[in-house]
Amino acid sequence: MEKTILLLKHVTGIQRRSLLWDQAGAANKRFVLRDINLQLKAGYIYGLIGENGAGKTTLMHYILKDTIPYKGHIYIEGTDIRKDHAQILNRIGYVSGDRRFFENCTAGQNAGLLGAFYENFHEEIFTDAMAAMNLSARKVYKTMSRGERLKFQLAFAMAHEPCLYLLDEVTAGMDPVFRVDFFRLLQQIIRDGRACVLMTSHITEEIETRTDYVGVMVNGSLVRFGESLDIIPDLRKGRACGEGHR
Amino acid sequence: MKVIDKKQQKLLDEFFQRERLLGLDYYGFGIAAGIVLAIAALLSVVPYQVWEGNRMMMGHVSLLEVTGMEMYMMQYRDLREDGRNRRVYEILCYLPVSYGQFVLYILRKLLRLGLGLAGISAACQVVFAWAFLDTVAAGNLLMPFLGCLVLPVALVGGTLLWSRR
Repeated sequence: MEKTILLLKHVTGIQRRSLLWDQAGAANKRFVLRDINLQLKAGYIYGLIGENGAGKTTLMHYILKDTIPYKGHIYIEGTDIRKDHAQILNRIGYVSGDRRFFENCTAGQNAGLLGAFYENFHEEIFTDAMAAMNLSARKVYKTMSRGERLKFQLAFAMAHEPCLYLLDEVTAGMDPVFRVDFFRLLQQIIRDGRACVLMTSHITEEIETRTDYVGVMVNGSLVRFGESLDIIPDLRKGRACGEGHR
Repeated sequence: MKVIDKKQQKLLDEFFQRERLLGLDYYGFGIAAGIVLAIAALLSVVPYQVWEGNRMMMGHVSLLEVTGMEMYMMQYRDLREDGRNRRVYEILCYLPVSYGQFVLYILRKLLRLGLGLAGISAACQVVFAWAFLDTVAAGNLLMPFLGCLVLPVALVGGTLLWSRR
């Protein structure tokens, strides 16, 4: 039986009341998630789709950041992330175009500086992963293209052997050749049954063929979750959430 | 729940030591802080009784201390790349280091600096007041601690907590 890697139980964002008078009113209220229940098991690739502003990235931030207030529970390998959030981040690898690194440092320098924070960071895994993706560790981060930065981030994530990979819109900037290799790499990551991948994407064909399960988010709620091969065709027919969702 | 996570504090210490070696514009903030704090320190060793006719002087000294400490804090909180200031925690936020421990690390640095400045200022004020003014008042001890430690650390630390990355 596969191990549960990520479990969200009735996760609902809390809207904090501002101490200051907010002239813009409701329009500026923070976007919150609504009663999310989700279970991800090791050995699978999960997709998360939805329109812009549906809450896909927000869901990842609820897991990654300890400053977002919410009700409910989020567990990583059975441990509530509120217990020791910093420690839990050892087990999560995050790849996103918005993630920051030291721009004037090389990939190797970034890995050396920041990898030290992880309990289990392996330089050799990082080096091997960079080589597998044809990326030099001597390349300065600010000179990398978006695709190269995402490759570096994936290699960085693989080096500390997380159980949960969170990939936020990573394939959008990738060349078609590397996209094939990228998914082969993800298959290798999950093959030993110790990790799972949750990725967001707007490319429904990719989600349908490359992921095992998919969740559909609409306005902060997870309206549907199931096998990709069932859900994506329904989405195309506008049946995913009974709202004519594209 | 432990307040100071020694492991994370040690990791942050090692991180900033390595960051400094990479020359990531660390020294600019440090030099600026050094100059301002040196001026503030020179003024703060003068016994406060000398400024009796100009009560604002202690306020000016405190302001210099606050400015110097803010620059000192920027060595750890900020990063200057390609002419732009960024927050270091933008880079650390997805790593296994909490914002609370990051703030604590900087606050401890500020406290150490403030204590050092306050201690030197108080000691010098007492000695100079006794040697040149033949009078030592409680203010020779209180003013340095208020002006060099409490007020600057509270203000600068407060902005750090308020900004929350």
